[in-house]
Amino acid sequence: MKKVTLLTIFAALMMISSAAVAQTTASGTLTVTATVTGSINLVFNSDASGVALSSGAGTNAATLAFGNVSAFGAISAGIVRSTTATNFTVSSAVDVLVTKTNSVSANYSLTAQLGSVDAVNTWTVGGVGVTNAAAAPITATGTYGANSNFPVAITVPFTTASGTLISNTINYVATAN
Amino acid sequence: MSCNFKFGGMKALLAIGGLLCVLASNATAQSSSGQLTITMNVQSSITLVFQNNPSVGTPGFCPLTNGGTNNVGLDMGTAAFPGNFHTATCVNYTHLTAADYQVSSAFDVVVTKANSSSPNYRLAAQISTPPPANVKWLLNNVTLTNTGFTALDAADAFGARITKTLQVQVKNTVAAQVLQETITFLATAN
Amino acid sequence: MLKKYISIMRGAALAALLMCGASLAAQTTATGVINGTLVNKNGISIQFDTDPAGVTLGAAGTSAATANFGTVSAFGPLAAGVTRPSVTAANFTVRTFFDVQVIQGGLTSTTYTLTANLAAAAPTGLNYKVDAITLTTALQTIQINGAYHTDIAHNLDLVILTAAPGAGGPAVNTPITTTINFTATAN
Repeated sequence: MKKVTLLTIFAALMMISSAAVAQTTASGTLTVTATVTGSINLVFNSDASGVALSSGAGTNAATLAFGNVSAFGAISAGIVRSTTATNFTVSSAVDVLVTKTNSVSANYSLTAQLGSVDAVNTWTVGGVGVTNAAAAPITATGTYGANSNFPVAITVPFTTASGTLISNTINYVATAN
Repeated sequence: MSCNFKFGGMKALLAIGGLLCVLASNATAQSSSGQLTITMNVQSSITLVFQNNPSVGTPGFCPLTNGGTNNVGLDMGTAAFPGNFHTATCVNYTHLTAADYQVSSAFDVVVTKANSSSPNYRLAAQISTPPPANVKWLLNNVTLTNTGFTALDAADAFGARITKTLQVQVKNTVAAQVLQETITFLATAN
Repeated sequence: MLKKYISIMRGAALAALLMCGASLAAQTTATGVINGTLVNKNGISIQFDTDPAGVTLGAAGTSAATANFGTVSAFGPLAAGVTRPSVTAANFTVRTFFDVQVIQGGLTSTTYTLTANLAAAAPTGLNYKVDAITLTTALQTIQINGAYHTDIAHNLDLVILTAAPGAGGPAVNTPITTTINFTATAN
């Protein structure tokens, strides 16, 4: 009886062993490909010394509202004004922040262009005249990651009637160098 | 061998081409744009400044300190009733009566307008404090007070020099003292 | 609900128009200030005026006038405004009148004291008197309560010795000029 039992156990062990040796496995590989490309991003920020952007600060679609402006008398904080015998200029600091990612570009070029024609008033960005005829180069060596103040200035002739609303857009384009 | 070389050349060309492609794709202008909208509302305004008269330095036309601004000084020196005494050679000194003297000096007021259809402006003035008894401050013979603006002109032309003469009339009983007034001019567009 | 909305919108539009009108009607003004200064000084001044009874003064109305007696003698004719109140064996006196006006400003004084003195010793043979007070190079009080702002007449006498030149008498046929200093002091 004992022999029978032992044989039986042995046979069972053998069977277990043969089952364990049988390899029923599968393997696979996934090749992942991505192409990283450099990119830059432009946003407008309020400059501490200028008029606070009334909307869109931190985005690429902001609004700079000068409010009521005049050649003489009180002027809002943040507006720099100069007056000649025939016109006056109001100016506000505006920060442009261009950031880069995955780019070896050392700096960027910035252009600006008026959205629509203005035959009466004179516009400048960073001291450079801008019109709607062509994009004007504002800087060729913009620094990434830092707020750069490019003041926006508008020169208004004395002949402009009181109550006139002046409104326009300036399209900025930053291009990695 | 030749074939192998050619194949190797092709590989090299392909590799260079690929690199150029990668570089080119990397060099593709990375750009970003933004749009800033600007608005403002133009308001009419006027400004007033005091100018030295072209005759400055001659009797009756003392130089202004800080001329060309809207906050100037006019020093008429020292004067006394007896002996027509006055230290400033640029003032006009006269005895009005047997008991009053007057020291005067003229200057120009220029008011400029911008973005305004106003044809002219009116001018008024006011002194800052009540003068001592028997002392009068006048502009072009119009006595000024500290209780309100006194009208000087009704329709002065913008941009033109308007000559005003500041007069101080002192009775001989007035004790020695510094006579000082801040005279505020108010121009209002018509 | 819609009517209420329309009403609110109309009200808002009207308010906006009114505000716009108010803005346009706002007065445009500008101000400037002049800081004017005059130092009023007190003082006193003296001037000599021609007296109706005296000679016409040169530079009358000033504090540096001249009184010219012209040619004088014990018996001969005299210029207008000159009299000869006395003639004695020893001397004769010629007289004229002049006015003194003292002006004050900024003082509480109501009267003044007038003094006079010769700028230099009197020429030989002459004495000078103002209001009968013989002048010397020392100050002499002429008046102690002069009123301000009015002409006060004074007489000026020249007492001339009749002695011949070299014998105590004055030089003759030559102008003799003397300066008299007057001082008015506020009381």
